[in-house]
Amino acid sequence: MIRTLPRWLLAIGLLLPFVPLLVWAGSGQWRYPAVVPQRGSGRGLRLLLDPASDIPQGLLTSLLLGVTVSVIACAIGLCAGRALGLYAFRGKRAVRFLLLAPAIVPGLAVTLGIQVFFLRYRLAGTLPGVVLVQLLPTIPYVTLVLGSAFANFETGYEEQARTLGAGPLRTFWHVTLPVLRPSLVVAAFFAFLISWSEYILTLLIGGGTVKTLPLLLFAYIGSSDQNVAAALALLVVLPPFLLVLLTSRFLTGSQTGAVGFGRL
Amino acid sequence: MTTGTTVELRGLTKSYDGTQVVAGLDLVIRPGSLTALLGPSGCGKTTTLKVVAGLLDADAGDVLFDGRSVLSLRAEQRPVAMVFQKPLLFPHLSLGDNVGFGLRMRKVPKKERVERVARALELVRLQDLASRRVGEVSGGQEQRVALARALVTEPSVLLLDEPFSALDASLRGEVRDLVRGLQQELGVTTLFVTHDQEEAVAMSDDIALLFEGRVEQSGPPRDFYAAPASMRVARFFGGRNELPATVRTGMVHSALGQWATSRTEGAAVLTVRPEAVVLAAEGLPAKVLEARFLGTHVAVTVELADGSRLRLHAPPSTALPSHVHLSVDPAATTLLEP
Repeated sequence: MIRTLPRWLLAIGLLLPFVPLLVWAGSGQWRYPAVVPQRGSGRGLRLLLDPASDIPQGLLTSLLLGVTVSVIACAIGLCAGRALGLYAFRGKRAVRFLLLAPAIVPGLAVTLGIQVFFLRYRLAGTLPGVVLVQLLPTIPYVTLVLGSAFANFETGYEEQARTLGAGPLRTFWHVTLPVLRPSLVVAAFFAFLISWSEYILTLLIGGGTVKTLPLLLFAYIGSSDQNVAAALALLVVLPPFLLVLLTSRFLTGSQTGAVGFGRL
Repeated sequence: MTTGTTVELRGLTKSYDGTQVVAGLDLVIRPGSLTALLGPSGCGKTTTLKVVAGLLDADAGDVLFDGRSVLSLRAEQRPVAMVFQKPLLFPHLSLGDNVGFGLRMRKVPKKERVERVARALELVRLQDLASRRVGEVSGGQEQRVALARALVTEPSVLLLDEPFSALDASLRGEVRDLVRGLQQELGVTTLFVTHDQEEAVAMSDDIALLFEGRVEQSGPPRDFYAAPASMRVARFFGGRNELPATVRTGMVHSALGQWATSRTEGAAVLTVRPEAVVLAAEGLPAKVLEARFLGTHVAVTVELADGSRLRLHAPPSTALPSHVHLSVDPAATTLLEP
C-alpha cells in the first residue's frame, strides 16, 4: 500500500478534474451554494447521441480526420525518418530543421499566411484541406519518433529478408514494419492526438464547414450550456484516454502497462 | 543431397566513394566445397560476399553459378542463403516462424512448410524450440536457428559472413563443428568470410586469401603453410622465420647455407617454419638465447654465427645445452621476394 501510494496520488490527481465534469454532465440544475445539483438530468448525455444535434456527425468527422491525418503523417514520417535516421546526405541538418520547424513556429502564424493558397486552390472549407493543414503540426512529431526508431534500426534484418526471398515490398511489409511497430504505434498515437485536439487550424481552414469535436465544444462553452459542454468534454477526453490504456505498453516499453494504469 | 554448384567470380570490382574495395577479383569455388574468404579487415571480403548474394551490385565483373551469370537476378531471386555475423532473427516471429520465413516468401504451402521447418530445426538440434520467442534462447542457439533458417530453403550456395565472431569462444567451436558437419552432409557449396586464419584453416577445403580486394593466394589450407606465395601471405599466417638471402648464379646464399635454386638473381628473403628447424648432432652451430616450455614443445630462440636469430620447436623432453647444432631441410624453406 505504501509502495503504491505515489501511484494512487498520481491517479487521483489526474482524475480529480474530471469529477466536476461528470457531475455537470448529469445535472439538470446546479446553483450556488449547493454542493450537489438540485436536479439530475440526462439531457446533456442524451444530446451526444441525438442525431438532430451536430455532435454525432462531429464525432465521426473528428475520428475520420484523426485516422486519416495519422496514416498520412506516418507514411511521410516513415520516409523522412528513414532518411534522417539511416542515411547521410548533403543538407541533412537543414532538412531536419525544416521538418521540425512547424513544431517551433506557432501554427497560427503559418496558417494565416498559407490560408490564401488554400482559398485559391479551393481547399479551404473542405475535409482534404483540413487534413493537409493538420499534417503541418503532426509530421514533425511523427518524424522525430520514427527518425530515432530508424537510427536504432538494424538494417541487417532487411538484407536477411532479401536473401530469404522477400522482395523490397514484402521486406518492408513483413520485416521493417513489424520490427518498427512499437515506435509506429507511438507516432500514430501522437498524430491522432494532435489532430483530435486541434482547434485553431481546423477553424481557420475548415471555415466552420468542417465541424470537429473541439469546434463544437468551444461553441457549447460559449453558449454557456454547461451540461452539454461538460458531456461533450467527456466525449472529447474518452478516445485519447482509451488509446493510452490500449497502447501504454508501447509507450513504456513493458508488457504491464504504464505506471498504475495497467491495473486500473 | 545437392550435387553442388560451381561458383565463379570474374574480375569483380566495387568502389565506395572513389575507394576501390574489390579490385578485379577472380576466384573459382569448387562444387560442394567450403571455401574461406580470408583477409584482414577492409580487404573486401564481406563486400564480395554481398555481391554474390545480390545485396550489392558490382561495378564490373561477373558472378557465375554453374557457368550462368546471376547478375541479372535480384537478391531475392538468387538460389543463395546467407547467415550474418549476428543471428538477425526477426523479433516479431517465433523461432519456428523465423525458420519458415524463406519458405513463406517462396509461397511453399503451409503443410510442407511445417514439415521442412521441423526437419531444419532437427538438423541444428533445436527441434523442441519452434514455439519459443526470440530472446528466450541463448546466443549460440539463436545463431543455430539462423543457420536452420538459411538451410531450410535448400540454397545452391550458402554464404556465411563471420557467423561465429559474435559468439563466446566455448560456443564458437560447437557451432563451427555443426556448420562443418552440416555442410559436408548436405554438400552445399559454401563461401565463408573470416579474418581468423586458424578458423579458416580448421574449417575449409579451400582458402582464398584477399589483400586489397584481390586474391593473393588460393588453394587448400596446407599450401599456405608449405608454400606461401608472397611475404604478405607468409606474414599473415605468421610464425615463419625470415632470413636475408641472395641468389647468385643459380645458388641461394643465406645464414642457413647454400643450395641450388631456380629463382631469379638478386636479393630475397628465405622463410622457414619453426617446425622445419631441428636440433642435430652436427650442422649449423647456434647459441641458445631463450627457451620457453609450452607443454607440447619447447619454443627456442637461437642466434646464428652471423647474428641473425631463428625460432624453432624442440621436443619437450630435451635438455638444452647453451650451444646447439641445427639442421634445416632446404625443401622445407621458401624463398620469397622481399
